[in-house]
Amino acid sequence: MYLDPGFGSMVLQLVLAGLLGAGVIVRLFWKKIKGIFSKNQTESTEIRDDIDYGVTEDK
Amino acid sequence: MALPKINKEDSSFRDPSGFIFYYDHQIYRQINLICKEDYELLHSSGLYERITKKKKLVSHQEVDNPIPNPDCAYKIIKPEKIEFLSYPYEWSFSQLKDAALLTLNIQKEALLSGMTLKDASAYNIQFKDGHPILIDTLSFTIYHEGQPWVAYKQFCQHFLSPLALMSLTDIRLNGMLKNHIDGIPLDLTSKMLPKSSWVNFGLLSHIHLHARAQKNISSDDAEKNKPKTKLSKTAFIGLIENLEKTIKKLKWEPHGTDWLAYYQATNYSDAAFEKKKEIVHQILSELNPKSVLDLGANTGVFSREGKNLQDCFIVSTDIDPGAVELNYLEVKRAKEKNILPLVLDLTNPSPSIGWKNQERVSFLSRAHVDVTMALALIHHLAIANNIPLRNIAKTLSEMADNVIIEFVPKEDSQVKRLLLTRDDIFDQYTIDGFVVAMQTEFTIVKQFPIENSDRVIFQLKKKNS
Repeated sequence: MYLDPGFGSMVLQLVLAGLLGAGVIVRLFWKKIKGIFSKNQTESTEIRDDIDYGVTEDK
Repeated sequence: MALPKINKEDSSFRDPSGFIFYYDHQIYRQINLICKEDYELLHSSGLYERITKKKKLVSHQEVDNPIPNPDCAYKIIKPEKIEFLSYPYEWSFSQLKDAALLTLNIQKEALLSGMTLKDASAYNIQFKDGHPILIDTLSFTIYHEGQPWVAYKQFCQHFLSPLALMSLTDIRLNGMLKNHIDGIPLDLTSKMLPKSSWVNFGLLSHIHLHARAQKNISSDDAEKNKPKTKLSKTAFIGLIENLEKTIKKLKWEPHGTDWLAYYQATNYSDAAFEKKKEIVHQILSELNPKSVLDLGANTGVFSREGKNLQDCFIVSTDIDPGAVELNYLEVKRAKEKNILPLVLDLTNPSPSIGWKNQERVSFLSRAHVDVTMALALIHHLAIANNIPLRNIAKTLSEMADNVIIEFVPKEDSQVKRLLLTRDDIFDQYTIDGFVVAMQTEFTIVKQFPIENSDRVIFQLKKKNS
């Protein structure tokens, strides 16, 4: 680690990410529920599916 | 015969993991032993292959030599070439936004492979084939669950701060990056953003509260207040996705900037405009350059006359961030691989900045090309900015051996408009005066009067070239 992450930045990040992580859990939970009713759901690619490759593609 | 010298890159010193160097006109990177494990995981996890295939990270080849520092060297790699280096203060809004989204995207990709980015500098991103790409292969490090994102502060300073300011305060504010080499300080951004940004959850958190946390949570208390909680991977992803969402919401559309309606207001009839394109096309086809610099390119209409030339790379610059934005959107739309739009004020080009003034190189020292174009630009330099014609000739001659330049006479309504509110102190500003000034550095190869207008395009060649 060659950068100084900054103490205040770290503390804020932890608080914020805690909150936002809860949101991710709720979202993944709903996806799972929806997945039960849909055939094409593949669980392991959940994060990858969200990645926007749009920087080279038209939207 | 003497061997070529190894030259270390002046900007490559902060991260002890390795450094960039030049040898025999080629670029290389030494990877030091201390990051052997990181480099190995990048490859063995499949991350390198996955993201180079998607053109998110520059690819490289491992080579055996030269080795500048054998004591600490683990490997030497030869990364693929970037045609023209550019910096965030030269990018339009969408260029910086795409660079920011790419960085977050790569961070998510890295997490999938048990890695994380140890830095998130905007200078680690360059433009290649019309899109942003990460050039720092050594940014990847092994991820240990529980650790926070070391680069969070840097990401906010390098990307979120300028984007928020450009979107909500003023589009020109990414120019502040020239003053602040490690990104715009968050307290400064917080002061400059409008009050309405406080009700935007992302900006409230990552800028306003972040700035206050930096100020009020002192590192003196770091030992006793050391946070006991760890950052779970889910929380990490939540943070990255929120930054992504915050940035995607930031918008800027060019309207009201100077040049957008310019083509409609020029002295060109449709026929003359087409004729001008034809002349430019003809000269470029004859010269068949590998690199072109278009100065005052507006949205890049004339730059595109060179886009079908084989292996030709075109840097298309303008002072107006709105014109450059439209130029970049067109690059994206048409998937143009060889045009790089950049914001550039030729009367005050990007300086060299950073440690010893050597970390980020000035625009003029990067601007060495086969052909320079300066169409409908001379009156802005000579009349609006009082730059003597001979100085213009000298500067152009330092950039390229071949120049395509348009002379716009005083009879032209655009010049009349510039002279409307000031004394005409420009005795030398005539076509003859122009020719004499250009001949101090160049020989005149050809002249092309543009039908239905008073303007003339000159093809110049540098003396003794």
